Amino acid sequence: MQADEQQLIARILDGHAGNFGYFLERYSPEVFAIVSRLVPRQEDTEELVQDAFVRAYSRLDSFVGRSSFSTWICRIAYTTAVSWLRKKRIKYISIDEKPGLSDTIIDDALNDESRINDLRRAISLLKPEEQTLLGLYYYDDRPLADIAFILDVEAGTIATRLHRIRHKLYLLMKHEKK
Amino acid sequence: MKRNNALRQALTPMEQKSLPSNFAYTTLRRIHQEQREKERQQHIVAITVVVAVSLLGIGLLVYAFGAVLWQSLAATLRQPGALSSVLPTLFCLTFFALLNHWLARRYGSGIVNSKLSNRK
Repeated sequence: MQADEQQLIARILDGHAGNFGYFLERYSPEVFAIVSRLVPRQEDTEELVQDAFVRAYSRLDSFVGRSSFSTWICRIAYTTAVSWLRKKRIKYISIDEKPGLSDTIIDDALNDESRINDLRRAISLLKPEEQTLLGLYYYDDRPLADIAFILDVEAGTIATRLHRIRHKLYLLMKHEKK
Repeated sequence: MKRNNALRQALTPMEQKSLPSNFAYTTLRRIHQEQREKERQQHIVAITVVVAVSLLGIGLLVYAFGAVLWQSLAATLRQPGALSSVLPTLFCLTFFALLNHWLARRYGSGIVNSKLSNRK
């Protein structure tokens, strides 16, 4: 984290709430990207992004710099969105893994640019945690340590999780085609 | 593992959405409102605790020493010229209580003033 940001946080905790505007301006696009991946309606997304920042403000004294501010606020936004989705009781498809499925077949399917629409549909059927993991890893190119912090999982398990999600995506694409 | 061009494209948002331009302003306003509400609730809790503890203390005093206090008060009041010392004290206490109330309303309490200047 930048030293300036640390100073700003100290000032905010000292009662100068207006300084939080800097964090709102700087990090709201990232937070919006994380939430909008999970929540389709723009109005709901805006409200959840705001909730995440309000929560971050009220817990600012617990921010100890174990991660960057960006990663910390993204984690809050992710948990806010997931608990909102949980309240909506959305059901997600669970699919049985097919043992012995070759990685080459999966790689080919996920590299086939003519099947982007199938892929999009398959991604939308994944669980929030799986969708976020894919987005953070493949689209945002975030480091594994950051992803692990945001999703509150062990960094060592991410490769396995990604492998499982790719497998699931392939099966969902096949299932959708039928 | 990171080749996955199709996967990357599929993860690209279909339409470019963004937050409204006044997002920072509205969020800061909400933060201020929630902070004020929190302070108000803390104030109410503090007052409730003070009142409850005071009532409990008075209750305990009355329970433990009520009879003795009542007897000594009655004895004091029965003495000749007792009212001449009690009445001026009551008058002074009432005057200072009213003055304190007026000053608090006119200038506010020290705690409130320091919080306001911090907020600025």
